[in-house]
Amino acid sequence: MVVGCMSSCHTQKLTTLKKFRSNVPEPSDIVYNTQHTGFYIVSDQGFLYETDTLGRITRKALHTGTDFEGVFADNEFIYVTDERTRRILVYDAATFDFIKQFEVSYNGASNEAYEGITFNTKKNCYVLAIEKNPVSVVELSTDFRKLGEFRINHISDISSICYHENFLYILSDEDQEITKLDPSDYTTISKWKIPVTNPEGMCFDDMGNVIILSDKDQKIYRFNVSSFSTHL
Amino acid sequence: MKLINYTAMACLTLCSCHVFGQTSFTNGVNSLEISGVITAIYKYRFLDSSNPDNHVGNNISNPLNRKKNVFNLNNARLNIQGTKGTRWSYRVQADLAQLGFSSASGEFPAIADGWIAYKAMTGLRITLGYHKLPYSANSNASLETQPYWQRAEITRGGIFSRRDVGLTIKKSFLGERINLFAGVYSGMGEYILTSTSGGDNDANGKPEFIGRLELSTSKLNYNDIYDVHKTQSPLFNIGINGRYAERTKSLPGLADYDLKIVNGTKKTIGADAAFAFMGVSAQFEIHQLIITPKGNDTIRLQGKNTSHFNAGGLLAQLNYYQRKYKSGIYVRYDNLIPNDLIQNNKEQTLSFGYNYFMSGSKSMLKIQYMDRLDKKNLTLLRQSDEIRIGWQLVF
Repeated sequence: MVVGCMSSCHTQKLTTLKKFRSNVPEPSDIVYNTQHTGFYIVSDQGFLYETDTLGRITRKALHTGTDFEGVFADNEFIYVTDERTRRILVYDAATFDFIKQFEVSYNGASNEAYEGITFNTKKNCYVLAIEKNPVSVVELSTDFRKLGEFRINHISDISSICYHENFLYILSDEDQEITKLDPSDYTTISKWKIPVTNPEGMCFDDMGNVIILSDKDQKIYRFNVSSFSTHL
Repeated sequence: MKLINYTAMACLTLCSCHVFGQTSFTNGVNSLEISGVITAIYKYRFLDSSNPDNHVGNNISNPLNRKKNVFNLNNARLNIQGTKGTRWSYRVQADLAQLGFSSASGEFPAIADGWIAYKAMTGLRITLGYHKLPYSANSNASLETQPYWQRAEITRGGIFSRRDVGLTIKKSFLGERINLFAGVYSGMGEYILTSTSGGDNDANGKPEFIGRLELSTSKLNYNDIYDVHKTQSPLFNIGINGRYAERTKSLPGLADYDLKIVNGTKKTIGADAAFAFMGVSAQFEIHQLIITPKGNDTIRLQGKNTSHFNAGGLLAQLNYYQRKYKSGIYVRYDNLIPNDLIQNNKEQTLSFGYNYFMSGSKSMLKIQYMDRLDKKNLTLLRQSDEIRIGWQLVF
């Protein structure tokens, strides 16, 4: 299935509220923890970290992978995508222990696969974001079986995906844009330009601020909730 | 109905055109990827009829020699690379377009890569095999990212080798903002895989040594230097590098200028700098070769009372990428002095380039025009302006 931009969508620009450097090396995705005390950040080197709200490492999981690119968390578990090995690794959020992993096969380029993971509440399924060639999202059942695949047009790539207040948001590294999607059919609703080089991770904090993670600069950017909301 | 069918077919064709991707396999621990790149061009030389060298048989009474106006298969590369666990990686890359030439002594072999690498710890990588040498940022930027069909004379592999068999150790600090390279190689460069050397070293058995240090304000990636990602904060990087080789035998007649393998000692030092911001980027490189020939090398030393001569050159390029129009425009100045003991021996070229990125660098049109600034100097090797137009497809 191919879905595209609605005719009314247009691109607007966000302005940075705050930025700070993280000491997580080669960070590739970020999610706000459900206790609202900090972030989970994964790295290209296959590590899962917990950080405080300023991106300083507080914990590191013992179990490592190859090339972590996506992370999502609920109250109990942390879900991590290992792009190169096409695996989803599940960690215990409380103990940081590795629990199990699932394979979701995909034969595209090694480094153009699962860049993000989130849960689509509206359709009660997990969603994996495929970076490019083609840019698409994959729906997974709650036991990580493939349910369907949807092409996303008018976007060069996806570097992160998250679900917030009944909408899906995808981040594009090459376009330096956030795109808001309808979670029921993945059609585009709005777009925002972000002034961040190499944005690799995105999430929302408990205030509804948009958090963007830059791999190249190793920085975390926070965008004003009001400036973001006015364009919604 | 027919119109709808044709429209649907056109849409499908257009969509499929935007999907270019490698194929990979994994068992959860190891991974293997197959990819490649094909580049095909047409090149045309603007010949000056008053120059005898441009005529058949170098005789001005004969017709112009237009043999260089031709279609070329520049590259037909097949690449297999993979990882074994988290520490080992490997790559085998062959350029099938070179196969037809490699039966002769050949300047470049059909093998472009054949190496294994071991990540000993975070930030420490050891590479063994035939691979790109850690010398010159431009040389290390990949073929697919080059806006021109031909690199600058100083970095295209005719003056110093760009690949060799050997060992490279790379240590990175501060998230690859500081990179330190040290390596030891056969010293035969690309010839180590051609019948020229037959896989043997020089009779003295000595290797070539190379070292490089680079500093960057952000994680350095040679392939990002043309800023197609539109860097939001200014990016600067600089590199300095040097290499040393001793040979007992020259290999004349294989590469232009006969500078790659020289009987004697060859010290090469170079520096490079790059800047990128909001789609505008610029690079500068300079290299100096100090060659001390052994024996009675009257040609290189020009019979002068000296033990050595210098060669070298530089490149400076300015680039602008406009994502909205999927286009990049480029201008480059480069020069080369193959031997400083010879007067009026400086080749200068001004190149203009245009790239149209149909699907990023995976499917793109490249146009390059080379203006030889000293075309009236008939003692120089390159005198004719040239245009090259072609397509690049990465699969």
